[in-house]
Amino acid sequence: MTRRLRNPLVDRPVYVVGIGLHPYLRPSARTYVEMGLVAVRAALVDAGIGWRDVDSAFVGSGKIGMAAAPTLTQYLGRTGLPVTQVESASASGSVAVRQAVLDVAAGVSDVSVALGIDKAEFPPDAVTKAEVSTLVDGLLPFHTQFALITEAFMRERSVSADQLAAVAVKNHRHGAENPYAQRQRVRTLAEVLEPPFISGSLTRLQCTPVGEGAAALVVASEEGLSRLRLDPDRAVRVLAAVHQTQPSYEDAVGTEEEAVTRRAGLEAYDASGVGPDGIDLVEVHDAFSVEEPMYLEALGICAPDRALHDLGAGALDIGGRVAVSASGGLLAMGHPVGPTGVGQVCEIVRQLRGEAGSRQHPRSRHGLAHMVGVGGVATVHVLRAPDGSSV
Amino acid sequence: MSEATEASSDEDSRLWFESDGTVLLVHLGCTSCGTAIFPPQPYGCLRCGAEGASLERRATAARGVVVDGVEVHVNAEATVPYRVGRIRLESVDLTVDARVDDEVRAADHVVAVMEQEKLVFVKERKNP
Repeated sequence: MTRRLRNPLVDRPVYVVGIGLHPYLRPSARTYVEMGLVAVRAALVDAGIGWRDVDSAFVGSGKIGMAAAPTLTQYLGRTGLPVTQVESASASGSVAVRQAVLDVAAGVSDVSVALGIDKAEFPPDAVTKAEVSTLVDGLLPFHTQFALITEAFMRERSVSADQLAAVAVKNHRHGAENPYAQRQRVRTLAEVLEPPFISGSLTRLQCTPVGEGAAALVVASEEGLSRLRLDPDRAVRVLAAVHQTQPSYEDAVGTEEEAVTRRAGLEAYDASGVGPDGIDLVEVHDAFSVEEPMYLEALGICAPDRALHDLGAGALDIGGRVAVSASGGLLAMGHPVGPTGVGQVCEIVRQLRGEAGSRQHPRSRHGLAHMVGVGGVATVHVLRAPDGSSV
Repeated sequence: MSEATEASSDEDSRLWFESDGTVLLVHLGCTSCGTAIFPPQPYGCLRCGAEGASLERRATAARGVVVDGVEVHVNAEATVPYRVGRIRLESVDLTVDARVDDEVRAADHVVAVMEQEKLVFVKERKNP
């Protein structure tokens, strides 16, 4: 394992002080600039600050292209701040969050913004440009890779397609309460299992909709909170901000997402001092139904082989032992790529503040956000409710 | 069980070639850490980072057992439906993803054949 220096968030605490979203939606005529500005301005209003108070910004996008960060932020006013575009496929927004958090933790900034943006477009990726041919060039889209993983999961654990489809039922039920979700309809098990099949046993409603949208958050140091007179009772502390790549070659085929999730989770628990038993809320990369139980077990939120049992018992519902994908997750809220990881943290913050309305999970003290990205990448953030929170 | 053999240099750009009616897959063998790597590439060992002459091109029989297989119904880049499988090779420590014949299912013993210039794994017919 890579050598780690000490967690900078211990010496210099960092808080999320503002969140903002543009709803996730199907392909539209809206530009990424329009959607991104909606999210950033909402986050600034939520924090109670102006763009002039922001010291740095990190823009996560997997697909939008060169120079998105300055193109977008110029419309917030010229202040000279450094703006950085970061890319890590599905985890792009999560990495933007981490970079903003670390910028503040390092003392370079007192206030930083993380923004995730993307349009529903699919330009050539860098994996293809490496020109490493396989036997399945063009034949193994993401849903097929996860259909193969689904087959392995069902075979190894003797579980049925119905049991996995129940993940999508829960997450659509949660998403129906989220005005920012791309899918806002409660779905029955029969509806989730209904054809069309996409790959293997994966039906359409067990695959994330990849649309577009934007999500933003503002993070600040204690000095920033004090100087800008921000409300400490709405400031959610970031306890861990972890980003790892595939830990070993042995995990290269079929299980790299689980392996890197397990390692990233361990690092996050070590850094935060909060173990999996102390987590009340989780958002995971549930792009396909099989991923939720995979990652819940890899993160230790559920015991080995117990995630689907916990799901069936209602333990993963809002109001259950631990609320999993209270936002609707990638399956219902959607996966516009750049915004996804930022939006997860927005949901955790909203819940930990006790401001989630009809989908509020009670007893919310600690939340965990998890993403994976192409290339065996995983991110984990752990956040803690404000001390004065009434949740 | 066939032994891995060294691939000839004129096959450097191929993932496979035919020899005496048998399809052989080309992979890399790392002489530094012993890892077998597929697909072959010119960049480095995926386990230890060794490069250049440490990576030998080798060929092995395209034969193995299907671990899992699925039918694909949606793919704008290909004609659907088709089946793909995850195949554990018999003669070298590698698992590869490949197109499989319609009748192939998990646990089947399969062997690669050329069908209309495409590599497809089909159920292995045992000699009587």
